[in-house]
Amino acid sequence: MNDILKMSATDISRLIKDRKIKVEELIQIQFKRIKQVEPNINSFISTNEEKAMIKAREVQELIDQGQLRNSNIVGIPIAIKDNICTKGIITSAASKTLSNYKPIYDATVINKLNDAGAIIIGKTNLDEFAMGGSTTTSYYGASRNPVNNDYITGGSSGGSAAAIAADQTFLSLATDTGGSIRQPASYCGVVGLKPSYGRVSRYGMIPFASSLDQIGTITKNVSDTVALFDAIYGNDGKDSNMITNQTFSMNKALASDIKGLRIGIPIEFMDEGLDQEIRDKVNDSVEVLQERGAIVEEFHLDILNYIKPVYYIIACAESSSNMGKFDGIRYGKDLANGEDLGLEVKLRTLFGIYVLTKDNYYQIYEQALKVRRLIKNNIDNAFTKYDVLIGPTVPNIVPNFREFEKDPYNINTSTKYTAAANLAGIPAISIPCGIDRRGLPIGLQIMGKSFCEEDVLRVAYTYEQAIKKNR
Amino acid sequence: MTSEEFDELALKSKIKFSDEEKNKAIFLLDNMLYDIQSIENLDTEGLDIMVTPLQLENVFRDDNANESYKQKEILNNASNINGDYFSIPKVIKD
Amino acid sequence: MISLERIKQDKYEIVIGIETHVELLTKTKIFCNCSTQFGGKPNSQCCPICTGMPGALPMLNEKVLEKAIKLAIALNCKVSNISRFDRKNYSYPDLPKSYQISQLYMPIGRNGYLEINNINKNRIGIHEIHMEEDAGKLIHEDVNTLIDYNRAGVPLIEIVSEPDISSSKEAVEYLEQLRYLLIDLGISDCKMQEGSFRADINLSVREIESEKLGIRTEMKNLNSFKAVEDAIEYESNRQIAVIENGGSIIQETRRWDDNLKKSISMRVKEESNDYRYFPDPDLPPIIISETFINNIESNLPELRDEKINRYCNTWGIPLCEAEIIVSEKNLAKLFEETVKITNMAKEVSNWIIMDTMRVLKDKKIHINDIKLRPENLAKLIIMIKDGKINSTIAKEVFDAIFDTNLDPVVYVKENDLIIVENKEILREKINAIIEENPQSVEDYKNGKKKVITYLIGKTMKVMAGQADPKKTSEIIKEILEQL
Ligand SMILES: [Mg+2]
Ligand SMILES: [Zn+2]
Repeated sequence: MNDILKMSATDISRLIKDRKIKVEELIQIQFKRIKQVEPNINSFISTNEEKAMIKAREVQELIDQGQLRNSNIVGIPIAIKDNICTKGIITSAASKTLSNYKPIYDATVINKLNDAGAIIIGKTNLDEFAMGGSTTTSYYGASRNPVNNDYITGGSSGGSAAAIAADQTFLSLATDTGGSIRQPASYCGVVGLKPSYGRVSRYGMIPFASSLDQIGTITKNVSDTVALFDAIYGNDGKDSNMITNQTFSMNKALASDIKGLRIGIPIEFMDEGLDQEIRDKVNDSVEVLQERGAIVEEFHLDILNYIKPVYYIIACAESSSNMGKFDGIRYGKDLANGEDLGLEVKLRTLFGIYVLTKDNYYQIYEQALKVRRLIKNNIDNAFTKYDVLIGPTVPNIVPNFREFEKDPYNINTSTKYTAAANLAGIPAISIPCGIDRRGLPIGLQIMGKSFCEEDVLRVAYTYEQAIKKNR
Repeated sequence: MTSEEFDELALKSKIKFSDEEKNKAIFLLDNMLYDIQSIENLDTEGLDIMVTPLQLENVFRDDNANESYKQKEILNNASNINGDYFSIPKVIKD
Repeated sequence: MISLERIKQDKYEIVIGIETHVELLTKTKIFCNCSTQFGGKPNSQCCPICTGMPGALPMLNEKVLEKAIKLAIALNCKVSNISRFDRKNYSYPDLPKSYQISQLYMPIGRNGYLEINNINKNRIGIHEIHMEEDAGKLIHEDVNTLIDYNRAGVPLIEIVSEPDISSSKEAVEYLEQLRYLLIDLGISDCKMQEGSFRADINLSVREIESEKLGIRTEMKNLNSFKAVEDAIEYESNRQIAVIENGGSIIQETRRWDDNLKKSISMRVKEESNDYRYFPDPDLPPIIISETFINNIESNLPELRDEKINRYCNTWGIPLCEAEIIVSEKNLAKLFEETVKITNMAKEVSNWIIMDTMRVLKDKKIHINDIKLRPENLAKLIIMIKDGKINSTIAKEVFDAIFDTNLDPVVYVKENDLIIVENKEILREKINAIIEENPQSVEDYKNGKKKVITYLIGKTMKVMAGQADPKKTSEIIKEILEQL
C-alpha cells in the first residue's frame, strides 16, 4: 500500500487517467497514512476525509467521461497551508484569532486546483500568520520533522513540508514571504518552489507582507513541482500585481540539459556564517552540475549583506498594516488587546509600526524602499552574467527542539539566504542535496531571473536526475 | 530602547505585553534597530523607491457591477449581528 | 460696550480651508464590483474586498481615475504624471481593513484653483485632490453600535482647498461653484442630505496683520449650505470670544449640531495622531501621459461659466437670467434645445424664467421631473409669433401642456383657441361695434388715436379673446379712415 505513496504525483496521475487506479482508493490510502503518522508529526490543522471522498467521486466520474485529460495532477491528494482561504473550511492561519473563521470564498489557487481535478485533503500547520521559521508558534502546536521527530520542521510552511516528507500527501501548497517555503523544504528534505512575484495570484492568501508574499509549492520531486506549478500559475484578474499573458513550458522545465548554462555563486552565501558541512554539500552539488556541462563561477554580491535589515523593515511594516483588521468585528476574535497573539507576531507588528511613524518614515522606511531598488538592480545585474544563482538554502543545520528553544531567533540568520528572492521578486527553489552529520536534510537553493521558472526548474531537475543515477 | 519608549510604542500600537514578554521584546527590538542602522548611510541618491518587484503600472478593471455576496454570507463570520447589521459594543460617536 | 461683531470686524481675520469629500457617480465601488447604489438593504452590497476579509485584494475601477483626472483638469491642477495609492492606517469599526486606501505622497492633482464670483476675490486655491475609499456607516444605539458596510469602498474624491477663504459667504460661494462643477462634469450628484457631498471646515482666527496662523478646529457634519454658513459664523464668534476672554483655542474636531446651532467638541486631536501612511503594495502606480490628459481635456463638457458666457454673448440673454437657467441641468437643456428649434433665445428665456419656474412652484413639481419637451415649447412660441394665439391664451396652453406634454397645436385646435384670422368675419364684427359707438368715430377724426385701443378691446371682448390683435387693429384703422 505504501508503495503507492512513494510514487511521484505525475506517475500516479497518469495511472488515474488510464483508470488503473481509482481516485477514491487513493484518497482512502492517503487518509490511512495521515492518521498513522499525524500524532508524531502534527502537520495538519484540519483534515476533511468526507469532503475529499465526495470530491474524489466527482473527479472519478469526470475521468470516466474522458474529461480532465490535460491535467497532470488529476485525482492527486493535495494539502493546503492554512493561510490560504478555502470556502466553508476553517482557515485559521494557525492563530487563535481565526480559529473559527470560515471564508466565504475560495482563493484563486483553490479554484485552479479544483479545475485541475486535484483533491484537497486538509489544511496544514504553520507559524502564526506565517510569521516565523519554525512552525512552533502555531496555536495548534508545533509540527515535528518526519525525518526525526526531535527536530523542528522549519517554517513557516512546516506543515506543508512535513506532510510531503511523511507521505501524508503528494502535493502541497505553501506561501513564502522571506523563505517560508524553501527553509522548511530544506529542513524536511523535500522540494520547495517560491515562484516569481506576480506569477501566482495572491487572491485568497491571508497576507503577511503584500509586496513579498507569494504562493508556491512543496512536493517530493521536481517533476511534481512542475506539474503543480503549471496548474496554479497565471493571471486571474483579481491580483493587481500580476503580469498578463504569462507562459510556462513544462518541457523546457523538465529538460535534463544544462550544457553551457552559466551558474553564479555569490561569495556572500559561502562566507563564515555558513556551516562547514553545508558548504561541502553545496560544493559537491556544484561539481555535479559542472559535470553536466554548466559553467560555474564565484562572484561578489555585496548587496546581500543588506537583505536582512531591508527585509525586516518592509515585511514588518506591511504586516503591521495587514494585521490591524483582526479586530473581531467581521470574523474571529478581537485582537485589539493583543492577548491572543504570540510574541513573534506582536514584536513584528510593533517594529512595523515603529518604522512607519512620521518621524521614521523617510529615514527608515523610504530608505529601505530605495535600498530594495538597489538590491534588485544588483541582482538583475548579476543575471546579465549568470543564468542562475546557487547557494545553500539555509546556513545552519536543522536544530532540534531543545536547541531551538534555547536560541529561537538564531534561525533568522537564514533571512540573508532566502529573503533576497522575495525582495527582488525572483523565482527560487530548494532541493535536497545531502544529509548532515545528524541525519537531517540539507537544501540547495537555485535562483533565477524574474519569470524564468523554467531555468530554475531545469537546473533542479537535471541535478535531481544526476543524483538518482549516481545512486 | 528604554522601557518608557517601549511602553509608548506599545500604547500607540494597542498591543499589550506581559512584563516577561516586554523584556524579551526590548532585547529583540534593540537587535533589530541595531541591524537596520547598516542601511542608513547607504547612498541611494537618485534611486526611486521600489514598492513591489514588478514594474507594473495602470492596472484597472471595468466599471461593471457583479452580483454582490448575499447579506447572510457577509454576516456569516461576525461575532455579533443584530438583524441586518454587524453589532459591536457601543463606540463613542466620532 | 463694544459688540462682538464690531471686534470681529475690526480686529480679527478668519482663515478657512475646506476639505470636501464627494462620492462619485460610478456603477461600482472603487476597488470591487459591488454596486454603489444608495439605500440598499444593509450589508447587501458587499463582498470580501470591500469588507476587508483576509486575502481579498483591491483592483482599481478605471472610471474613478477618469473622473479624478477630469476634476483635476477642471480645477486647474497639475495632474501628476505618476500617482500612487497609500494606506492610511487607523482603527475604527467603520473601516473594514483598519486602513483606508487613500493618497498622500503622490495625489492625482495639486496646485489648482476654483474661480468664484465674489466681490473681494475671484479664486480659491486648491491644495490637492485625491482619490480614496469611503468607510461604512455606523448607527449608534443605546448599548450597541450597528455597522452597515454598503458604503464601504464607495469611491470618493477629496478636494482640499488652500486656507484662502475668509468668510462664510466666500465658503458658501466656493462650495456652490464646486458643486456646479462636479454636477456639470458628471462626477457626483452632490446630494448633501445623502452624504455624497460633505464639507469639513478648518477654521482659525487671527488678529489682522498677525503673521502667524491661529490654532484651528475642524468642523464636521455640515449637511446644507445654510449649515456651513451658520457653523462658520458660530465657530468664528466662539473662537474670538475665547481669545478675547484670555483663553486659547485647542486643536480639535467639532461636530456641528444643526438643531442647537452650535458646534460641539468631538475629540481633541492627539499630538500623536499618526496614520503611518505608506505606499499600498497591492496597487501598482498610475502613470498618466500628456496625451491621456489632453484627450480628457478636449472632451470636457462645457462648464457653467462657459455656458453663461455663451448665453449672454451669442444669444443676448441677460446675465441674471443666464445664471438661473444654467443652475439646473434640465432647464439649460430645455432652453438650448428650444432655442435650437425657434432661434428665439430671448422669448425662450422668458418662458423659462417666468412661466416654467411659476408652474413648477404652483404644481410643486421638481425640476428633474419636467415633462415638457423642447419641441412643444417651440411650437407654442412659434404660434405666438405667427399670431395664431395671443399671450393670454398662450399662458393657458402652457399651463395645460406643461405636465401632460400634449402637443400645443393639437391642444389649441381641440379647445378652439385659435385666433380668428378671417378678415371678413372680423370686418363684420368690427363694423357692428363701430356702429354701436358713433362717438369713437368722432374722436378718431379729432385726432384721438387712443380710440383704436379702445375698439380693439371691445372687439376682443366680443370675440372672446380669439381675434388676432394685429389684424383687428389694421381693420379698425381701415374702416375709420374710410368713414
Ligand atoms: Mg480623506
Ligand atoms: Zn465589494
